[in-house]
Amino acid sequence: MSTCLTCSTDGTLADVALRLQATALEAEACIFEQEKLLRSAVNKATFISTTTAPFNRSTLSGVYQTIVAFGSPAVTFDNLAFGGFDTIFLPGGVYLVGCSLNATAVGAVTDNSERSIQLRTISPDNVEQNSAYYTVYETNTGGGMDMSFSSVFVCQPGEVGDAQFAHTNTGSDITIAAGCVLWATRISDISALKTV
Amino acid sequence: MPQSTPIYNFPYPCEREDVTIASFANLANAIDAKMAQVASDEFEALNRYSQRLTSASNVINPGVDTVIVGADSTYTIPASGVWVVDATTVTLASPATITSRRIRVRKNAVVQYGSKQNTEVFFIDSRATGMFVAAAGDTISFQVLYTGTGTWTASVAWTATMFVRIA
Repeated sequence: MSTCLTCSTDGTLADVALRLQATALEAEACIFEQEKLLRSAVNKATFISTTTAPFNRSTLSGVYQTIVAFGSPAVTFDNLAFGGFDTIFLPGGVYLVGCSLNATAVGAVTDNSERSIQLRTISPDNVEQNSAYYTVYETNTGGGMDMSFSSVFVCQPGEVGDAQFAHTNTGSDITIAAGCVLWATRISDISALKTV
Repeated sequence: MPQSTPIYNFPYPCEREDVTIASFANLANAIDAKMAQVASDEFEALNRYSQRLTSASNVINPGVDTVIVGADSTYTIPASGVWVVDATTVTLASPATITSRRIRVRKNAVVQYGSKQNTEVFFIDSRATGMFVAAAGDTISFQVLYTGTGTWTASVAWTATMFVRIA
């Protein structure tokens, strides 16, 4: 017996039309709930932001500086309704997070100097929870350094996402070119709610 | 005048209207069609688009930003959505010397992101990964650049995975 549709208990045919109406509405309500669940499974919470202007990171010799909210970031894609470019709230879950950028010396290039990205999340009481680093070394062959990486984070509700950049190019500041991308996509819930 | 449900427009006869065989058939067919659509959504949820291939080998000259060509060197996006493309160079024959290596991922010939490695000390392949929005029919391709001497023979091993479907 269907759990969505109720059976008529009276024996008259006079209300057949009403019975069909009830069946139609019950079927719709049942299917709608299932479709909502499927849509949530298909469309994982995801956001992508892309900077539209270059911005500089000063020569602080290996000190990490935030790059979130710099470079006039624009929303490329968002079905997450995140809080804004200064605070990227991540609803609890397991996420694949990533960053890609080009870092080029504004002036003199310090050969083999470090370029490093840190992706991290911070709890509401300002304690670092997740952290991933990616480091390359300046080749001094022109065109700056392309950098891209991803990592998997387990985030509790209320954590804030952040991206930082550090360099050891003592010869000059570093420009992060327009087109710096920060992104995150929710892979799953933190814990399995049902096992078979 | 028959009415219909507010979300999916399932038809039903109104009170005091004649109830015919068609009344039952129309409602059953409408529900059946909707269930078929939901089943299709379930299939898409369980079978996300994903591709993993390695391109044909290419000969790359130093200082020449080379678009990788040949078999499996491009990917045509099958459906609009948010995609992650990951690409790694695979060295088949090393150049005489190499001081840097870069790989870039392109969408419709426009660079999306890349990865550059300093290989003055270590000989390592480059891996680029990133996320972008793509429309059905967009073409993903790769370009590789290195500095050094001699020629470098390499292919690109790549994966493309859809994470969010758009429409």
